[in-house]
Amino acid sequence: MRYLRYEFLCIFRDKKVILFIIFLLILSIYYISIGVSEYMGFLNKKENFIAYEKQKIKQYTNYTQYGGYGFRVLYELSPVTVFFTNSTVFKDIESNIDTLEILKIYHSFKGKNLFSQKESFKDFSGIVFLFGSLFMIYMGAQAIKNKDYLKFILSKLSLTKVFFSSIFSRLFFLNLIFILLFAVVYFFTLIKAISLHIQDISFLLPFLLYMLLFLNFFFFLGNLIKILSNFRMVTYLWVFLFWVVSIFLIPEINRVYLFNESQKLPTNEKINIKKLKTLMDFEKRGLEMLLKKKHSLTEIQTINMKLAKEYKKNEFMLNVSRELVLKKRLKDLITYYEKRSLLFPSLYYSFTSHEISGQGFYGYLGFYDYIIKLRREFLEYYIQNVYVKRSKKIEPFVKNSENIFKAKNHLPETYLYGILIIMCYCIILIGISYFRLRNLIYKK
Amino acid sequence: MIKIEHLEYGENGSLLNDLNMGIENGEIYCLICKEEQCLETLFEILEGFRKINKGKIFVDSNDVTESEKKYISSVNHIEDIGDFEIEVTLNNFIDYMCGNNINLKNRVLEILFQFNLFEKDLNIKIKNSNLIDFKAVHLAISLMNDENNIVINDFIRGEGKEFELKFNILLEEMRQKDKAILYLTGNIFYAYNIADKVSFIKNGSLMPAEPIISEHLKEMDMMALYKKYLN
Repeated sequence: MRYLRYEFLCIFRDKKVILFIIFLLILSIYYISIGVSEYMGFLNKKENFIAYEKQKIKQYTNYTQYGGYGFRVLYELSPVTVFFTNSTVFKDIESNIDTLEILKIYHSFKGKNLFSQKESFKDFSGIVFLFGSLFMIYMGAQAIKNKDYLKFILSKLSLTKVFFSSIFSRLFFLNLIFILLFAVVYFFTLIKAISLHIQDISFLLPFLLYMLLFLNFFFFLGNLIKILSNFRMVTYLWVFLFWVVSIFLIPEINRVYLFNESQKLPTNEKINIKKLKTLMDFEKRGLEMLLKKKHSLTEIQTINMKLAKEYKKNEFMLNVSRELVLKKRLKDLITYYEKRSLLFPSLYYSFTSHEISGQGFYGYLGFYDYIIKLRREFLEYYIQNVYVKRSKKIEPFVKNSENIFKAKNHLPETYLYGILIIMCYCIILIGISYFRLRNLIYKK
Repeated sequence: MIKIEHLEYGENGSLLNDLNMGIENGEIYCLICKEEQCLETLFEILEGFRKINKGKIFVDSNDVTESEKKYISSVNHIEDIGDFEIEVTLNNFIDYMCGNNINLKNRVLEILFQFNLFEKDLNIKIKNSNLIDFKAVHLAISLMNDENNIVINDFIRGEGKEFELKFNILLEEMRQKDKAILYLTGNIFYAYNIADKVSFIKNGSLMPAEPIISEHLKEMDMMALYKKYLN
């Protein structure tokens, strides 16, 4: 209790700390409100989207038009996104499902969409990443004032007790600050009528846990830097340099690395041209079959049906398999990127934020799978209506909300490893700090 | 009682060499040295922060050479308040150092009373307190354990006469309580005022071999002593 009480006073009587907490609180609420308003904007967009898609189908006069123009699928953002508005892999995406060979996934920049672009760090997760880490590395460097002060205390108390009790008492209050900050922004989203369900909270809590460990990592780092630089003023320069490297340089190097690796993937054009060639070869073959001799209308219809079924079974599946191969290579790259990110907390913090927001790499792969499945079903629907039933009246393919893909929040598969690794780092940092401090104080 | 035998520190005893001295209970022993580093080193050795190359340290006849805890109250001089946690009050700092021990707190308040500092005066942030008050708090905390043996490193250096007198009264009180006090200083005139025995350290070695007792010191020519041991 002695240490808790003293560290409480040291932290909360420092005006700089109080000002920083207020600054962080204001900034967090501001960016959460931005997140909420963007999410509300998205819900509005979704309503317009559904209404437009319903009207669009009424404009088609036959199934050939429906098959050619198709319909759009919207990636519906999770309400959790309000915490991660700009810490996502993509903002919002759509796809067009039709019978053509190209699989389209896109973000529209048309009209007002131009102004809804991603801006790094400008959300709750980003604010904690940027300013939280800076605050914690500074607080870590401040945890042990200096050698003379420590020696004075050690004349009455033991180093082990003073070191660990002070560090963990301080951390207790600092973690409490961030938990309360999180609680405040959480209740703020509730006030703003964003309905977060139990399952959303079940993703936010692991994020909170990693966020705290990430911040504690910076605290221990600050503490170690102060001890390694022998409590000199140069500590603060090193602290700042390490923070810049951890927050900006390492993530940037990792991003460039991912970009370079992604360049090894086949281009969309290369895949599309292969798919187009398959389709054209098929059409050529079909045309030859039809032109070989003169057919009656019934014969033509029978041949068309046969061709369509053949197309669905062979060429379409071949093109699907090409998409699946690309998807697999994407997944491999993402898995590798995930494992790489595990190595450094700032990388894994970003990765976890992406995935928990629902707009991360795994969310994208889920969407990819969904539209491949939907394309297959749409083709089946198209063949049935055009060649088998030969319906005249257009029955919409989208009966319920098939054109809305609900974002799934993901906890990275390596989450537990992430927790263990960052905990190991923290233990190593505090261990080195303790033994180094011991050697500094007790000279041989 | 503090006894030091053949103490050596530094490369080949460069800082302290073959130091032999004994501080009896009820005695103030002043060790005078011009080189601050020597005194700082000896102080840290007696605090338990430095391991010696050779020699033995006995406290109340117990060998504490290898032990980190030496059972000696240590009072160091203060350079800067900024080295401490300045956002808390003097009272918070005392509470932190005393824990929940009422006896320790009473002992601290007792010492502070001698410096005209009362509990109500302690509700001031360290950063806003003056150095004299903080020094008094520092001294009171250092002495709160009421150990039988005390080592003081030039505590009153740079302080005014009023503070020095109050400190001397406290020192005298402790002597009367039969405590062994080792006072490390560079000031021969201060040693002249308070010491029962005086020795010098020159080039890491104790001089003269036997300490000068107070009565003899008063008959000696201070300038000659200064020239011989401190110049």
